[in-house]
Amino acid sequence: MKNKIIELKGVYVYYQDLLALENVNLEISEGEFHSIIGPNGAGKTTLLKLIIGLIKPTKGTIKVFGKNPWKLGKERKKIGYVPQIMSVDINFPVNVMEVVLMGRYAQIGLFKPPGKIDKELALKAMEKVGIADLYSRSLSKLSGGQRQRVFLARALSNEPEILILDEPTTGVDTATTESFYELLQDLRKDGMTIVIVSHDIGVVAAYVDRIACLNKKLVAHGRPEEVLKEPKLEEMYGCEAILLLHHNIPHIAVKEH
Amino acid sequence: MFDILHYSFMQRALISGIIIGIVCSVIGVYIVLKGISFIGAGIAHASFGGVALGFLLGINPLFTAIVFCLFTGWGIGFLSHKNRIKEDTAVGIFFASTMALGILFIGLMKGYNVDLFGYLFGSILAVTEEDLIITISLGFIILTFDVVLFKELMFITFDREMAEVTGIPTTKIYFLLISLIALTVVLSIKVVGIILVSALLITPAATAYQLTEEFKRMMFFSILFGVSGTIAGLFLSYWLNTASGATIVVVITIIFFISLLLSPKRRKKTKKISAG
Ligand SMILES: Nc1ncnc2c1ncn2[C@@H]1O[C@H](COP(=O)(O)OP(=O)(O)OP(=O)(O)O)[C@@H](O)[C@H]1O
Ligand SMILES: [Mg+2]
Repeated sequence: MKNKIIELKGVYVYYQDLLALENVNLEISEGEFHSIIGPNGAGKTTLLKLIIGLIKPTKGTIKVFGKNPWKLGKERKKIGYVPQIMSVDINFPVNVMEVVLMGRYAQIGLFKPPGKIDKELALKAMEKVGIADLYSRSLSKLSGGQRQRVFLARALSNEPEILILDEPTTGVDTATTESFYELLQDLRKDGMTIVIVSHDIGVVAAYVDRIACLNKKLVAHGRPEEVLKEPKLEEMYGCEAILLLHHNIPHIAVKEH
Repeated sequence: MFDILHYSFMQRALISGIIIGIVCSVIGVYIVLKGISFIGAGIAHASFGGVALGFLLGINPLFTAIVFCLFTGWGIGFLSHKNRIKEDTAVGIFFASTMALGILFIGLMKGYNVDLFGYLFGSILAVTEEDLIITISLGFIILTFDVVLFKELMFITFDREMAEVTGIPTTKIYFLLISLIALTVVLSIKVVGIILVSALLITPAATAYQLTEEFKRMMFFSILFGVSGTIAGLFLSYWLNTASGATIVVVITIIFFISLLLSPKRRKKTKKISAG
C-alpha cells in the first residue's frame, strides 16, 4: 500500500447548528484518482474545503501530508484547487495569463511583481491543459470548457502533488467533459493524486480508482463497480437519488486501467 | 479665462482635486469590482461624526475624521468577518450611529457652525495649506500601498477564497483595503463633501468598466475620467458659483452615461454567487 496522503478520522463539521459532515473516515493514497459523489448539500464542497485547509473540523482529525491542512504554510503550494464554478465573477477584467499567474502570487511573495520563472510556469501549465494559445484572451470571452481549463491551469501553476477539483465539468458538454477527464488521466499518470467532486457518475466511473458516496455520512466507498452496483440500496439512498436525477443509471462503463 | 489660477485657493483646490481624482479612481476599481460600494458610502457617512468632533475640540476636522473613518472601516470588517453578520448590516449599524454621534457633537457646540456645510457638500474655497499637506501625504500613502500590494489586492478582489487557499494573507489585505478606502474618503471630503464622496469612488471606475476588459486599462481609464471630471467640475463650480462636490459629481455622472452609450458591448452582468 502506498502512503496515505490524505487522512480523515471521525470528522464532524457543523455550520452553527447545521450538521454538514458526520463521522467521516476517509483515506486517500498517494497517486490515487479518487471521486466524491453525492446529492446537493451532501457536504462534498465542505469535505474539499477541509482538505485544503479553508475550514477546520468541529470534531475529529484531518491530516494532509501528515499535517493539519490549515497549518501547512508554504506547503500549501503542493495542493492545487479548482473551485466550484459559480464562486467567481466571470466578467472580472482579467485575461487568461493573469488568472493562471494568480496561482503563483503567494509563492512570489508580497511587494514583488511576477517574474520570468512565474510566467514560464504559468505557460507550462497552460500548455499542459491546451490553452496556451488563449493566453491574452479575456476571461469573459471564454467558453465554459475553456474557462475550466484556465482554472485547472491556475491550480497546476505550482506543480502540485494533490489536485482537488469541485464539479469542474458542470454545464460542459459530454465530449468536452470526456476530454477533460482524459487530461486528468494524463496528470494522474505523472503521479498526481486527484480528488474530484462530480455529478457525471457515468464518466467518473470509467476513470477513477475509487468513489466515495457522501450524504453527510460516507454512505459507500470503494471501487466504482462495487459502489455503483452495491445491492444495499437503502443505505445508498443518496447516490441513488443522483443516479435517478441524471437518468443514467445502468450505463456504467468501467475501463480497464 | 484661466486667470482664476492666480488665486492661491484655486491652486490648492486644483492640486487637491487632481490627487482626489487619482486616488478615488484607483480605490474605486477595487470597490466596483468587489461590489462593496456600500462600504465606501458607510465610511463616508462616518466621517461626519469625525468632522463634528474636530469642530467641537477645535482641531482640524480631517484628523478626527481619519480616526472615525478608520475605526468604522475596521468595525465593519470585524463584524462581517467570517460572516458573523452581513456586511451591509454592519454598514447600516455604523453608518447611523456615527451620524448620530456627529449630531450630538454639533448639539454640544455653542451656536451653529457654518463651515460644516462645506464639509457636507464640498467647497473649493475651503482647502487650507494644512489640508493640502494632509491630502498629499494621505494620497502618497494610499498610492504606495496600492502599487506595492497591487497583485494581492487584485487577487482578493477577484477570488478571495482562492487567494486564501494559495496562502495569501487575505484577512490582512482585506483590512488594508478597507483602511485605504477610509483614508481615501478623508482626503476627499474637503472638496467633494461627505454626502457625495461615494459617487467619486464609484462612478469613474464604473465608467472604465464599460470600456475595457483589462484590469490595468480599467485602472488607467478610471483615473483619466476621475481626474478630468474633477478638474472640469472645479472650474465649472467656480464659474457657475455652485458647490464643487455636486458639480464634480454631475460631470462624472454625465461621462458615465456617455460611456454607457459608447460601450463596445453591453455586457451581461453575472452576479457573484458564492460557492455552494
Ligand atoms: N459557509 C456556510 N455556512 C453555513 N452553512 C453552509 C456553509 N457552506 C455550506 N453550508 C451548508 O452545509 C451543507 C453542505 O454544503 P456543501 O456546499 O458542502 O454541499 P455540496 O455537497 O457541495 O453541495 P452541491 O452539490 O450543491 O455543491 C449544506 O446544507 C449547506 O447549506
Ligand atoms: Mg459543492
